Parts: sequence; structure tokens; C-alpha cells
Amino acid sequence: MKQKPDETLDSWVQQSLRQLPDTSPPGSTFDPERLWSQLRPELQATSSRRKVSIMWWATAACLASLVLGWLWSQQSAENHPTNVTRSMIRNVDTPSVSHQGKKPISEVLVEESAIADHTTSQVRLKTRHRSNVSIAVESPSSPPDESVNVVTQNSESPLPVEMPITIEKPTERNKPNVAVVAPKRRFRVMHENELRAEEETQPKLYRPDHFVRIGTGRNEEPISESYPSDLITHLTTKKTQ
Amino acid sequence: MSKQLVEQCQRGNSFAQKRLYDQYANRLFRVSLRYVRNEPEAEEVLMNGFLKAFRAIGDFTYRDDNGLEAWLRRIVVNEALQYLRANRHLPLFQADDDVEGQPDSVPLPDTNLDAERIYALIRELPPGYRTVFNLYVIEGYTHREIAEQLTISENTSKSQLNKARALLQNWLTHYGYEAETRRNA
Repeated sequence: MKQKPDETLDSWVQQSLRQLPDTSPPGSTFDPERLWSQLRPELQATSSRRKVSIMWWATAACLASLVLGWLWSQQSAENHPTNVTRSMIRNVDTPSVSHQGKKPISEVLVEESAIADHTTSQVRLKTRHRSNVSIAVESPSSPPDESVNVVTQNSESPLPVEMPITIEKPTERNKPNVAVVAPKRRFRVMHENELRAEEETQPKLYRPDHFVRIGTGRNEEPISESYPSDLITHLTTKKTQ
Repeated sequence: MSKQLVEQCQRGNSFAQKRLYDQYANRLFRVSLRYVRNEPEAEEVLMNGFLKAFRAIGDFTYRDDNGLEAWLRRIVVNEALQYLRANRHLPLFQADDDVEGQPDSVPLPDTNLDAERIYALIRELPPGYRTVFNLYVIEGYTHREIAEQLTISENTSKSQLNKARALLQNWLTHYGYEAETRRNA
């Protein structure tokens, strides 16, 4: 098949150009070495710029990871339930101090419930309560993880805010089968009237500073300093007798 | 040989870059000179092309020397087209009246007469004709690709190519080079 004249011209041009020598055109002032001397600094600048950019990215990544790690540790420290639980236990163990100077236990528990709003932290709280400290409301069927909610609800009720709380400390840790063991009593919540009634049944111990002296107070013998001063009542002697 | 050269260039070895440059600089200078008006512009295009090539050589997969040369040529051609666009040499298309006649300033080299003369005549084509002729005949682009590259229609590309062929044929005839005759001879 005969080629068209245009295609013939094209192929002829292509063949001719393939025969061109591997040099610059005749009469050209092109100097490859001169162009290379201009090109080389650009290439070195490119490679050094790339190294600098890699260094910057690496530094930025390290800083970002450090900041994120610090933020994460801060957040986990805030949400960590052991701090709240320990402070709560300290308050409960020393009730005279906690009821006078510090916040009542109900407020602490409300704060705890607010902090433990997040689901994960709630899960963490549950596990922590189960494993380390046993604090439970005195409700036989309530599981340990409902203790916080129950106490929180009580704190909102018109009942007295400061409720006597008893704690059972854990006797065994890390029991192998939790399901077999019955839920421990961690709290004992009782009404104030019941507490009074209980106290009334117990033998009363009178504190000596609440005694009052009855009588004229006349003393014929001087009381020595070594003589015990408490629990002594003087019989009054009437002059008429 | 070239494979090792390419691998060394991919690792940023400056000696390998120099060897690759030496191997292709003159050839690619001729390529860029076919698209732009003069040698300083061709040098600028070639320099930018080599810079891009050395930056992008990490993504290049070596198969053979032809593939390497084609890759480098493509980079230089794209760089030349970008240069033409940036310097507002595109669109480069003139009316028919302006391009008639014989070239006055075609240098006729003494050595390698046929190839060098063809090369010189192509460089003497008007810019629009030359660009389309280079892309279609020498680089092997289709009219659609040329239209996309130069932001012209396909018909414009075809008409420019026909005019470039006609003008080149005229010049060749003037210099005594009849394509058909030469082919048969």
C-alpha cells in the first residue's frame, strides 16, 4: 500500500531527525558544563531543602506526640477513679474531720458521678471499685457499680446530707471467680433515728467533762493535786444537823 | 549501565546525576530548541526539565534506555510547552498570508546535511505550525492531546499541521529535496 504524501513527509522527517548527531546544533553556543554549573546548586538546594523539611516534620511530629501524651495523661489523671475513691475513703475513715472541715461524702460522690460521666471512665470506675475498694449501699440486691448512683440520688433527697456511713474493708483481693462470691456490702446507709436507737441500746459511756458538781462546794480537806478530780461528789452537811 | 545510573540518581548521588546529564544534555537541548525561539530560552527549558527530572526520578521505573530517554524527552517537551504558555507565546497561530514564502534565514550546515537541514527548517516554521508539527510528527501526540495541551480545538490542530506540512514541503522543494523522490531513491 502506497503511503500518502503527508505520511511520507512525516516519516522522512522522523528518519532524518534520528540521524542527528548527539551534539549541540552546529554554530550553537550551548555549553553543557556551563549549564551544569548552574544546575548543580539548584539540585543541592533542593536536596538540602528536602532534608530540612524532613527534619521540621520530624520535630513537629515529636512535639505533637509529646503534647498529646501530656494532655492524655492529664485527662486520665482527672478521670482516674482511684484518686476520688482514696479521698473518699480518707473522708469516711475519719468521719469527725470529714464532717466538719471538708465536703460531705454525698458531695464528693456527686462530683465523682459528674466526672465519671464518660462511659469509658465509668467502666474503669466499676472495675476499680470491684477490685480495690468495696463500697456499697446497704441494699442486698444492688450490685456494687450502682453504689454511686444510689448515693447520688439520696443526696438530692430531703434526707439529711451527712449520713453515717460504714465501710467494710476488703478482706481478699483478686478473687478468681467473682460471680460465685456474693456482692459485698460496702456501705451501710441507715436513718438517723435508727442510728440513735442503736446507740441507745448500747451501754452509755459518760464523758467526765459533762459532770456537774452538786452541793455547796465547801471542802474541809484541801484536795491534793494528785487526787483524782473527776467522779467525786461531796456530801453536803447541813449546819442544823 | 543506565539502570545503575538511575538507581544512583534515585539515591541522590550527584556524580550519577552528572553522568546522566552528560548523556542526554545535547539531545534534550535539541528537543527544547525545536520548541522555543532561541538558545537562551532552550537552556532555561532544559535546566528546568533536568531539575524536574531529578526531583521526580524517585518515581521513575527503569525498563530500558529508550524508556528513560522517552521519559526525559516528555519532561522537556512539557517544560517547553509550559514555558511557551507562561511567556504568552501560546496561542501561536497566524493567518495563512504570513507564512507563505521561502525562509530567508535558514542556516544550512555543511556536515550531516540532510538531518541538520531538516532540523533547521523545522526551527524556521512559524511558532504555531512548529509546535503542532513537533508534537504530532516527532513526539507522536494525537490531535486530541495537542488540543488539550495547547488549549485549542482539534480542528485547529489539524489545520495547523496541514499548513506546517505544506510550508515545509515548499521549502524542501525549493532546496531540491523532494520527499517522494528521495524516498524512492
